[in-house]
Amino acid sequence: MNNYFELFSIKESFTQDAALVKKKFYELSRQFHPDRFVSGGTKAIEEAEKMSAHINLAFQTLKDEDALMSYLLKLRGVLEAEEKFNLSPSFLMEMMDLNEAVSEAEMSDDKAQKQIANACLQQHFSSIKKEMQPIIDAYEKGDHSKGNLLLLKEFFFQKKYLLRVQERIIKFALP
Amino acid sequence: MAYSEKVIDHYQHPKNVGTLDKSKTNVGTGLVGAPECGDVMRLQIEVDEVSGIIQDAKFKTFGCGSAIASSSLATEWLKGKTVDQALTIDNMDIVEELNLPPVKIHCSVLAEDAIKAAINDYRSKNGMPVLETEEKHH
Repeated sequence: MNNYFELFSIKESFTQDAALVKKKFYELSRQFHPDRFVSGGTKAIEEAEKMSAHINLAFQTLKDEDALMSYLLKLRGVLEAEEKFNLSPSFLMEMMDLNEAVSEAEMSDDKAQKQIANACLQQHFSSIKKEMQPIIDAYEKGDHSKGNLLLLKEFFFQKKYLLRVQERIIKFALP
Repeated sequence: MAYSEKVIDHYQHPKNVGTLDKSKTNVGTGLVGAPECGDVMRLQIEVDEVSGIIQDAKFKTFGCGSAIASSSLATEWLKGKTVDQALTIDNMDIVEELNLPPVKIHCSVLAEDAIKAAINDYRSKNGMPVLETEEKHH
């Protein structure tokens, strides 16, 4: 089967035009709707069902920037499913500290502390984003070098830790 | 998903949460992370220099209930063991003891990795060669 980019006839890139992706999704969904294959018999319907499932999965992946990054890194052979990847001890230490700051804010129920923890998290997010951007831009211009992709992979995993901290902050921000 | 009673007990009453002085030569610190879910775990051992027995173990884990329970159980098992005995702790022992479901096995792997990392830190601080840790894929 075609990869998601070929299937949707869109550029192979870490950033996608959301409206275009949606438009292609509707087009393809219509084209391969199993109801249209009734006259072709069971086999044709089954094929169409398989295709529809593939299209759905592709859409879920292409519209989510993290899922898209994971998919494209796998497609390019630098990331495996459930890969164990060791981030630097210094980054893990930072995440330990950040999590501890969140815990402290959580326990003291101190608004200022919570804001500090959140500001720290946002800073991490924007610094990762800033570092990823030139690599993503270069990829779009045709630079598919493995070194760059491996760097992106590292940021991809770093982001997962940040998202986890974000989840914690959102949780205790609720009344 | 339902957690086993043992997981809930460790989660609600974690044993040995805290920090040991990592600047001491008889303290080994392991810091590991699970990239897929963003969990981070720190596990430390304090070794009695005469007997070679782990006299204290502490952990701090930010993660799900299974990750906390796995590291809490690990610290309990570590205390009273020699460093070499500690190396034999296998993640599947943790899975069995806590009744972890297949989707949570990676939490026990993380705990085992943390033990090995702490031991290696202790070994390198004391002039012993660092042990190769096998990559585990469950």
